[in-house]
Parts: sequence; C-alpha cells; structure tokens
Amino acid sequence: MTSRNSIWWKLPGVVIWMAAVGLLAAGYTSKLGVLFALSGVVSAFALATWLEGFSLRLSRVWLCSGLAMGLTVLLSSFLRGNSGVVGLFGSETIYGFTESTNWFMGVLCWLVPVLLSAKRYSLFLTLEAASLVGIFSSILAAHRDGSIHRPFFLTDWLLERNYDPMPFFLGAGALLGIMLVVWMLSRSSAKRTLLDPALLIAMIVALFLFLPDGKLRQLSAFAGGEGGKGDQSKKDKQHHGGQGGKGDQKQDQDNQGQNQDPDPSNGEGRRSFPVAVVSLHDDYKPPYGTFYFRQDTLSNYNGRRLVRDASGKLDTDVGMPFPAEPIEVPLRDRADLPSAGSRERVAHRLRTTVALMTPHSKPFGLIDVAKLEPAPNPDAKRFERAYKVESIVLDADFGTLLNRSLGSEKWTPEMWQHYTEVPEDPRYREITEKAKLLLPTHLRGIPIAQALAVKFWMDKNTTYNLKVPKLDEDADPVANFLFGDRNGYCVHLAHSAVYLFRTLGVPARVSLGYAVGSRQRGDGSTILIRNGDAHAWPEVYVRGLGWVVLDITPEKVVTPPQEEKVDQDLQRMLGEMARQTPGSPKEENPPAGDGDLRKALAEALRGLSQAMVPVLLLTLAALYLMKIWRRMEPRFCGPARLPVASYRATLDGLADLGFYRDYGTSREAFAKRLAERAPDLSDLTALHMRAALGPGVPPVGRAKYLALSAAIARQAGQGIQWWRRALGVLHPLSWWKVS
Amino acid sequence: MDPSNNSALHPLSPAAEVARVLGNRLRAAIKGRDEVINLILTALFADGHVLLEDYPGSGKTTLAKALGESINDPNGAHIAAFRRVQFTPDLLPSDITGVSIFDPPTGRFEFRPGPIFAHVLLADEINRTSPKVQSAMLESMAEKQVTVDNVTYPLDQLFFVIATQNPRDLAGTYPLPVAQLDRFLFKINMDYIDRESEVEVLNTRRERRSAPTERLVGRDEVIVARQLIEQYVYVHPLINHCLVDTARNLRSHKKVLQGLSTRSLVLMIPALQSMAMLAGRDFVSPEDIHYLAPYVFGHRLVIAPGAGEMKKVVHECLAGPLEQLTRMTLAGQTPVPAPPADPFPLAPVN
Repeated sequence: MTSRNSIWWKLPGVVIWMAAVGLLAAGYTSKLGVLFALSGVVSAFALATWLEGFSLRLSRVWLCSGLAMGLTVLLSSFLRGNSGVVGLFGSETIYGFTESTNWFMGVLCWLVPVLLSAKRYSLFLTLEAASLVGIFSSILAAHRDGSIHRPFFLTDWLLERNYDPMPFFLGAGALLGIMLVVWMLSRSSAKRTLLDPALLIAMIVALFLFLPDGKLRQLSAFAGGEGGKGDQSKKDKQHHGGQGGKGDQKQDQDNQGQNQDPDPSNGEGRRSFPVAVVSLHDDYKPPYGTFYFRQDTLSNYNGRRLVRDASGKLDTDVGMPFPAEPIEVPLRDRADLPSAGSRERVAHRLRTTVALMTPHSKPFGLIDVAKLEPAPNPDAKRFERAYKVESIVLDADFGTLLNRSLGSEKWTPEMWQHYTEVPEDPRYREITEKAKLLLPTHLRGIPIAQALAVKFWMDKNTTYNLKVPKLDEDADPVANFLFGDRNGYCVHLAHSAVYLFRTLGVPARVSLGYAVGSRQRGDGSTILIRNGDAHAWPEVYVRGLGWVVLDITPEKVVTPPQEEKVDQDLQRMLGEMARQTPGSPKEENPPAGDGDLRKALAEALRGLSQAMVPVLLLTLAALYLMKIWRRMEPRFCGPARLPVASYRATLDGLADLGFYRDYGTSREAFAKRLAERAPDLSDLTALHMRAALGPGVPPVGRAKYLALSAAIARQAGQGIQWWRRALGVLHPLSWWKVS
Repeated sequence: MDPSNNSALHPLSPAAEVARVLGNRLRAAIKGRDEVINLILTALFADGHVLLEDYPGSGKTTLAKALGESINDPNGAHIAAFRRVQFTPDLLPSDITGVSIFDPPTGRFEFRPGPIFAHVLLADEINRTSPKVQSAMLESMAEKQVTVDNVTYPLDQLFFVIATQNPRDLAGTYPLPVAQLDRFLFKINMDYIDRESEVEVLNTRRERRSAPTERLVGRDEVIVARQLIEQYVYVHPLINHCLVDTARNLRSHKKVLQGLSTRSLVLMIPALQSMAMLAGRDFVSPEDIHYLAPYVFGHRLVIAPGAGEMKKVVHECLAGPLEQLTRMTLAGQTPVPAPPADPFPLAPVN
C-alpha cells in the first residue's frame, strides 16, 4: 500500500517530533546537541520503520534501548570524569562529543521503542502523544520564566522589522497544536475512545496553565504569588558560595523551590534569565574588568568552612535591609577620601540604580556600597523593587596595592584573628611557599605580594569546572579541591584562595553576589544581571581601600561559566524600562517603542488568556450541538436524507457505547459483528446501503427508521454499565470517529 | 430490498427462484460446501467459469454433476447436461472438441461433437494435459465456440466449465500461465470441510443418491436469469470507482509483479451483480466486493515470492478504496468522488 505505509504518512509525525525535540534540546544543550537530537528523531523514525518489518518482541526492544542508553550515559560520564581523556582531546571536544551522543542516543532510545510499541498497542500511542504534550507544555512553562521572547535570533529579526513576535509565536504554537490534534485523531485504533478526549483535555489544560500571561514575570513570582514581595525575609537569597554555608541552613532548604541561582554543579540544565538591571549614572570601567555586586559575605571560620558572621559586629558593609530611607553604610576605610593614601585618585563615588526582577532578601550593589536610597519601582509588572546605590568604586589597579599595608588600623586583635583564622593544615603552608617562589626575591617579603602570588599560582594550577560533584551543606569546600584534582567552580576557588591568603596572614573573606564582565555591558549604561552571573569571590582587606577583590581566574576552563552572550537589545530595553519613573506619561508615538510593544504584548496575552475560557466553552458547546443535531436529524430531515440520517444517528449511539466500525470493514460486517447484541442493526444497514448504493430510496416510512434506531439503541445498551453509558453520552467527541 | 420479500412484484424474482432451486439441489447433493456452491452459482449467473483448486475426492465431480443434472434442456437433445473430461498428458484437442469423420455412405465429412458440447463441463486436472489441449479448451471457453477443420460450431449459451487442479503433486504438470488463468472468473481454493459436515456426508450418503425433491431448472430459465441480473441489479458508479482504485493500488503495490487487467474488472461487474442477487439484494454492496475480490483477482495477479498470502495482499489494497466507498455512503447524496490522490484522512491500519 503506497498510500498509508509510505514515508509521507510519517512526515507529520517526524515534523512534530522534530519540533518538540528541537525545542526541548534548545533549552538544554549546544547547537551541536540540538542538531544531533534532531537527527536522532529522523533516525528513530527510519529505524522504527525498518524494524517494523521484523516481528520483534517489544520487551526486548525496550530492554535493548534501555541498555544502549545506559551504556551511553556510562560512556559519557566516564569521558567527562576522566581527566586524562579530557586532557588528551580537550574539554571542548569531549563536551561536544558527549553532548551530541547523549542527545542522539537519548532521543533514539526513547522514540524507537515508543514508535514500535505504538504501532502495536494503542496504549503506547497514548504514551507517545502524552510525551509530546509533556514536552510542549514544559517548553511553554519554561517560556514563562521571565524570558521576554525567545529564541532571540528570531525575535530580534522580527522586532527589527517592527513586528510583534508574540502573535507569531502563538500562531506557530497553535499550528503545532492543531497538527498534533489532527495527527492524534487521525490515527485509528480501537479502544481509544476514552483516552483521546482525556489527552485533548490534558493538552488544553496544559496550554491554559502555561500560557504566558500579561505580566511576563518570573516563575518564582508565580510560585511565591504576589506575596513574594511581602515576605522577603524568608526568601533568603542563595548564591554559589551560600551553599548552606550561611548558618541558616534550614531557611535555605525552605527556599529551595524559589532559588533562582543556578546550582553550579548542574548549571548546564538551567536557563539563563535576568534577575536585575543596574543602571550606571555615570560611565565607569572597573580596573579589574568585572563589575562585582556584593550581597553577602562569609568570613567566620567555623572549623570546617567559612560562614556568615553571626555577631553582627563584623562585615558591617553587608546585611542592610532594603532602604526605606537613605542608609549610610558604615565603612571603615573610605577609598575615595584623599587622606587614604597617595594623592592620586584611587577611587570615586558612583551612583547606580538597581531594579530587581526576582525576589532578593537583601540589597546588593556595586562594591563598595556607601549609601542606599529608596527608589520608586518603575514598573510593578516587571520589577520586584528598585533602589539607588552610591558606591565607592576603585580606579586603581593591582599595581597600587603593593605599597599598601593590610588590615585596618581600627581593627581589634579579635578582628584580626577573625579574618585570618584558618585550618591547621601544613599543606596550605606548602602551597603558599610554592606560590611565593613565583615572586621576584625583593617582593617575597611583602604580604600583599604574597597574596598576589597565591592568586597567580591558583590561576595557573586550577581548572574552572562546573561539572564537579555538588557541595554538601557542611562540607569543607577546600581540602578536597585544593589537594585533589583542583577542578572546581567559584565556591571552591574563593574559599581556597581565602584559606591561602589567611595562611599568609592576609585578612581575607569570601563575598557573594554577582559578577558581570565589563564587556557584557557593551556601550550602554545598563548592566543586565542574570542568574548565571551569581558568583563568589575572595577579598582581602587593604588599608585605606577596604575590601578589595582578588578573584581567581583559572587559565584552564572546562565549562565556561556563562556560555550565552547577553542580548544587548534586551539589556538596553530593560535598562530603559528600569529608568522610567512610574506614572509618567508615555511619549506619543515613540519610534518602535519598546514599552509600547511590551504593553501591547501584555494586552494581547491577557486578552488571549481571558478569551481562552469562552473559546473553550464555545468549542465544547459547538461539539455538543453537533452531537445533538446528528442524533435528532432523523426526526426532521426530508425523506431522501432519512436513511443516511437515521443510520448515522444510530452509529453515533453505538459510538457512545464504544462500538465503532473498524477501518476497512464493510457496514454489513459491522452489523454482523454486533448481530448478537443488536440484531436489528443489519436491517437498518440494509436499508441504508440500499438508499446509498441502490437504484432508489427504499419505500420505508420515518416511523420504521425511528423504530429500528430505537430498538438498536435499546439492544446495544443492554448489559453495559450505567457509568459507561453516561460517559459515552457526555463525551463531546464520540461522534468524531463515526464514519 | 430483498427481492424475495415481494416476489410477485420484483423483476429479479425469477432469477432468485432459479438460484433458490439450484442452490437447494446442490446443497442436497454436497454437504459442507455452501460457500463453494454460492460461488459456483455466482459464476454460473455471471457467465463465467470456475477453477477449483483442491485435492481428489473433495466432491467436485459430484458438485458439477449435480449442477449439470439440475439443468434441463427440452429443446437441446443433442447437448449433454454434464460431461467430465479427465485431462491427461496424452490428450489431444480433438478429444475434447470432437472430430470430423468421413462418412462413406454420404461421402462427406461429418462432425462428431466432443465432450465440450455440454451445459456443464468438468475439466478434471486441467494442468495435467499439454498446453495445446489447454489452449484449445480455454479458447473455446472464452469464445463459446469450437472450430474444427475451419468450420465453427457454436457451443451452448449456457456453457459452464468447472475445471480443477491439484495444488500438490505438481510433477509432470503444465501449470496454467496467468494469461490462461484469466479465462476463469473464479479460482476457488477448497479446504477440507468441517467435522459436522463430514459426519453428515457419511450419514446421508444413501439419501443423497436418491432423486432430489426440488424440480429441475430449465436451461432458458438460467439464460433469462442472467439477463435479469444484468439488467436489474444496480451498480452504483461508486462501486466502479472502488474497483478501479483497488486495481490501481494492486498495480502499484510493491509486492505485486503483475497487476490486474481492465478485463478482469469488467468481468467483476457481473460477478458482483450475481453475488448481490444471491444475497437477496438488487444493488451491489461493498460487502460483495470484499467477498469476491480474492476469488476474482487472486489468480490474475503475480506476486513477488515471499509476499505471503494472495488474499492478504488483495485485502490490503482493497481496504482503502472500500473504506472510502463505505464512508461515502454517509455523505448523503453519495456523490461520485474525485480521484483520490493520497487518502490522507484515512488512518493507517496494521
């Protein structure tokens, strides 16, 4: 049969699966991975078609697929975990290879058995459709988490040409949905009368639940509801470094669900989304190439690791609440004051505005924060809150540090002790001694130069790698890392550096917050902070300057911390949104106004989501009307139409009970199949067939038709449970497959 | 409607009566072969011939003989009701057609008709004889005439052949090529009859030998029945569409090496009409196509080795057009469909 077994018949399936898998993979893997996932779909269809020719046992197919998948996972984890192999081929090659293999095999090992099983059992057909629905819903759900419009390459193209991307996406989604429904319905299989509508309803509910609404807010805002702003205190922000080390672990656990930061150990799976926008009121380029936003700091060594100082007397430059009125931050050393050291300007004051897009427990600001002021929220739909920060920012680079001494004059011995406490392990001393050798001899005695040497030593001898086992709440992040393979991410690096600095007697601490490369800022005055920018870094206290970042930047990088480049348009747009004052009248006809566009989008989406319910109800009503009309038609129709109408009404009645004619069998055969249950069906079938294919309409009155119809309904319904009959009557689509 | 319901009125009722009488007589003679009897009657009314593929002793001679003896021809004394020819390798064409013999008293050649001059001819083991005899036989079947010494002698209008061949034991046979098989309307594969029927055959062996109770059927009655069926059993245009689509599907089927000829479709129509009449209908229904297609199409196809059962292939190709035909009956006015390019809305079956 060319018509039904041809590859063309499989095409809709291939297209739908490719769309689903492509969308799914795009959120999780590289372009290569997506490519291989797509080719996995095609291969799976080809393989399944080929395997159809063999009479394989399904259990064996499933077993083989499971084994193949297991082997693939084992192989890739071996390749990734084995530093020798990574070193031999390069981390990028290995990453690309394992990603593409995993995705290809994953798709293949799932699709082939599902397709093969669906060919034989209708239950698996449902499974196949359900997995499709799941993928689409999860993508829709992911779209809600703050991404304004993805994929960027497409939306940018549309926005540049002044088109609103949202209708486009909705249209594409609707098209896919329709294709999916048609595909699901057109695949005939017995015993699916109840599963079909259940799936359809599930899909519609999923669409309705996950359709982005007008607010375009983050998922967390939905999880926390509108009360998210109210109980800030509970939403303790967690960062890389805050992996349970803040002393309030219970709270941390409570907030796992709302944790916006990527867990670095499985960061590849998370999407990047914006968490805040910082507008600079003046141009500034940090001397070390990175904007650091400090939110919290860990300085108290508790015997295993660094935790937040609980006394409240130390680290007074962090931990302020959100400002309701201007707050002066008590800084021990003011780098901007001329008295601090040389006459050269080493720092100046910079004003910034921070607009938060996700709930944060504490304010953060560009280091060092000197003053916090409240600011009106520019757009309550988009932003959680906003505040102004006055920071003292450094202009001097590392070169100026060498002349300075460490620690503050105002520090008590207890404070010195606090900031230099370190595990008693001779191996730290060994490393610092090794590091000191990097210095020219005349510098070896200067503590700050020693600290720099440690930094350079660590830059050279560590590897940045997100794919290391997740840190336990209480685990020492340093020893295994520093005396092991030295593969780790910022938490390991920062803690290790601080331990080493402290070993040298340099007062040091770990700070938590966000770090954004100054290149990310582009030309604008806006810095977009994304969840992936969360960072932990070591700081040392330099007299006259305060806490100075001495971050470790390993030369070897296995997984780049942030692969995705920031979208400049999005950054600018968010920046402009953040700068707007609330309630200010909008400009008339702004050229391609982002605000207007956004508003239009929001309006369109709100309208759409509000229209969903009536549309659904109307559709349902139309389906029921159709059902009732088909059932009642024999009572009203003309005599020529009577045989068809009454026969169709009877078939509808039988469909309600779950009796359908099988594909390719004749009406007489159907009547014969039901002969025991409904003997009158063959009479009605004969009448109908004669009217349809015979020389003329049989001379039989309406009463006879109605009587036959009623008799068949009565006969067929016997012995069928009442709930089954009720389900059939309520089923709005039972007539759909009547033919 | 069922023509037997108001038999006095319906134009088909004489045909139905002939069918009923013949059916009763045959069923009385042969037990457990109702399906074959039905098919043979269909072929008789459709003016086609039947090839039975079965093993010896399955009752085919009895069947053919019962059929021949049920037909009575008061005017045609020279034509035998029933003849049986056992086809052997040394048979000659003249052994079946007859020969011209020199008659010394008159000094002329006189034609002595062979066994082919009969109403019902049983050609036993037709594949055992030489192709020469086969072709002579098959030609006379198609043309309903015999030519001996350049003189053409017409066969009787009723002329009906039941040929047999043994599906096993093929050594020393001359298998009929597809082109010659085409002369047969049906090829019927018979299986062993079921247990009850077989027991009944043994139980009733004495009664069956005695004369049947039903009356004989006149030869002319059969001829008239043929005409009535052709005229009064309605063939909807959709039926023809379905047949053509099926043939096209068969021709494009990957496993079919040689597809159906147009002639086989033309021959199918009377068979469908007869089938419909036997089923008590005055119109051809999809059911008839479904039932007859393997018998009519099966031996006209050449399928690739290993393609499995012919019947499966035929039904596979039939399913789509038949489904479409069936669905069209719910469309109201049953319009004639446009040629379907690709029946996309039809779902696949496994």
